[in-house]
Amino acid sequence: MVLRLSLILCLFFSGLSYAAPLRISKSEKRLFETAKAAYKRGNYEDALEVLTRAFNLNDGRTPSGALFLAGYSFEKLGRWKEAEKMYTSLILNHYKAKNHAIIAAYKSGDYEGDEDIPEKLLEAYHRRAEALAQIILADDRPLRPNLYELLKKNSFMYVAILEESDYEDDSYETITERIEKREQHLKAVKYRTSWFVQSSYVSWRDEVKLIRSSGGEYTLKSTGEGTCLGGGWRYENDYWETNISGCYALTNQTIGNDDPNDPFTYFQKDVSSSALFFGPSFLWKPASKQASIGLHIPFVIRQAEYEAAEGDIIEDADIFTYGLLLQADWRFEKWGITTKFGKVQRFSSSIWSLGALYTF
Amino acid sequence: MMRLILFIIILLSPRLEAYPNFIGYGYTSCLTCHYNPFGNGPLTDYGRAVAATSIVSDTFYSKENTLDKRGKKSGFMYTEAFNDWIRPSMDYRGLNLKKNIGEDSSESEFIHMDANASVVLRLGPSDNRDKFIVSATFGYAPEPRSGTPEYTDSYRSREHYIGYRINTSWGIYAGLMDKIYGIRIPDHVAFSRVTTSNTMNDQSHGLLVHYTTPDWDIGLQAFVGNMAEEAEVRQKGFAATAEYTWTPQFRPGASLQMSESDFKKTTAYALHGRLGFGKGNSVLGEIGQVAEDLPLRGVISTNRYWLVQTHVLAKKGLFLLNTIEYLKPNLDEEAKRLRWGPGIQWFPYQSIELRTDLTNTRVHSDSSVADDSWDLSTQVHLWF
Repeated sequence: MVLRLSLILCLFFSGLSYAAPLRISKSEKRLFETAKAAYKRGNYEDALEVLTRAFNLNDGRTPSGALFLAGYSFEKLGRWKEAEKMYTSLILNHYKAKNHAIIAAYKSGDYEGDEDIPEKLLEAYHRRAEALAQIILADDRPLRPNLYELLKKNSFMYVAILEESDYEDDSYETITERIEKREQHLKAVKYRTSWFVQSSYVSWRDEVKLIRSSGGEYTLKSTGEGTCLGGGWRYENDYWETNISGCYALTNQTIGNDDPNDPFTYFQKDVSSSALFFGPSFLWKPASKQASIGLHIPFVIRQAEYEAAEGDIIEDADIFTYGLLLQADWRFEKWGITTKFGKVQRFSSSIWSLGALYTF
Repeated sequence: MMRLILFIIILLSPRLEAYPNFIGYGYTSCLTCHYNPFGNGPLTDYGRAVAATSIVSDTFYSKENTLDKRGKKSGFMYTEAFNDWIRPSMDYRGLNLKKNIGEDSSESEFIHMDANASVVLRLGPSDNRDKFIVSATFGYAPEPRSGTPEYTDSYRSREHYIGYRINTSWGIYAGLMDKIYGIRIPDHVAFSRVTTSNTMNDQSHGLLVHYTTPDWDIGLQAFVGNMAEEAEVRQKGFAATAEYTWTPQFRPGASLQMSESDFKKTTAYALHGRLGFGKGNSVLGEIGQVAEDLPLRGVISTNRYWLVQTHVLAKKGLFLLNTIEYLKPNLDEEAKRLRWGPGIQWFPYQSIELRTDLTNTRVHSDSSVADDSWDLSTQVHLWF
């Protein structure tokens, strides 16, 4: 509505407010009215075709009303570069002196507003700032970094000038926010890598088989716990993380068959054992980049020094296996907390780990 | 009719709970959402509005039912407050517990854990009604599952106290309340709550002084036991706790609780921390010890516990949580118990919480090898 009102005002006053270097003939005026009508109907291509027939849009002396109408039509068609060209032409040719004074004051750093800026110049600043923002925000053609920074700087400059004015259409206020939001998004989706170290308390339960020389097989269960030290490498953005990590644990186990129905009792404590865990994790960061949840697929080499009577055999003292664990991490800057819980094949019951992370 | 409703409310009742993990939303102080400055018990108007808007899922709300409308209708029974001096509420928590999954001894039962009615009278001046409050919660309590309870009434006063805020920093509360200690997680069977005697039926009559600033929450409480219990079993003593806002999303704290009766003398102390990570995510941690002297049995022992409870906000209203607990019942012995409990907590609609936890319990011992046990609990929590 504001846009439409501005356009109408612009078109109405364009011939009166500004010195139009070129005179408008009756036929041009008629064509201009035709273009205006086409714009109002939403036929922006037609409006541009008529304007192009009536005026040389590349000529800075073209009446400001025609340049505004062409700019708005290009905007409606999403042709932001061409729209920006129209507003640039308007600013540089129709408000040359005033624009020069404003920009010079702004660049000197002591610009505190100017009450004498024509409303149409402010509108041109607004539309050019918007066009520049749209060019920056376009997905299809990534800009060269230098060009990106230049366009952003100009867009922000116009916004700053508008902020110091009484310009009524406050939709320009979202320009800075949209650009910054987009930059944050680009930063968030960009993948990065890092190394980390971790130290975890780990607890699991083993199940091994005792074969007695005198005959009989017994299932022995053990409970192992210890500290697992290691690290890993991650590839992540603010929404997803993949990492590969490993840790090595020296643990103590208590093992036995506490089944009262067994005719034979086995029990051993402080069994020295070790385990190497390594594997990938696939994590999702649902609500913030600081907390993630997902799956870890560990491959495990576990060795234990179970003792058996002469002639008896303990199977599975050394095993290689794999598992599937739920993993959740919380990270605060470089430090973090990690938890894992799940099942490893050939282990009885579950395996847990709770630890701290440090990211380099 | 209103009198009848009020009468029913006063004769029923459990507790409403906003949780300590809401530090993940930037809520550091319990007083923001609760009348009780250390949490638990009836929610303030603001707390009810937060629960109805920021915490619950939007899935079952139409677009017309805006957050503003939901906040306004977050009073008793989904209504707007009908005056500014009385705040009734009702609360129910039921649990289906399947114990020892996969074992011959496996059994399942449904427990009505809590069914309470509360009323808070806000008797302060019109520009600050909460300056002077009277809070009472009465309700059903299941009989304790273990031990020989001396006090097993199924209905009891959960709390009744008066509170006076002297100014914005100082408050004084007198009556039957929870003792202040550690992190008040809602899991009343947590080692951190059971071993310190701060579980669901451990309220005590006493006097609480609360000091709060944007950075600090400090409480000092003298208590004389629950006057509804036999005099000789009442634990008398004091408790103190302090929490400091290190950053807007990190609150470390410390607690001390000492009490004694003819049968038992205990000293419990703990350090705790609440951390928020981004929006809605949190890690709560508490580590403590309880020294216990049972003179009649000639037993003196000290246990140690720790707790880590984590929340990941998967979607608005839906949390994935994990409760990890450790208990060494006697520091002079090697045996210890650990629990690992992944769970899901869902707030599908205003005043409804559904939660499921799988709990794996493991005993580490140097004298025996016992199988792990697995329990599954599913609970529904309603508050109106």
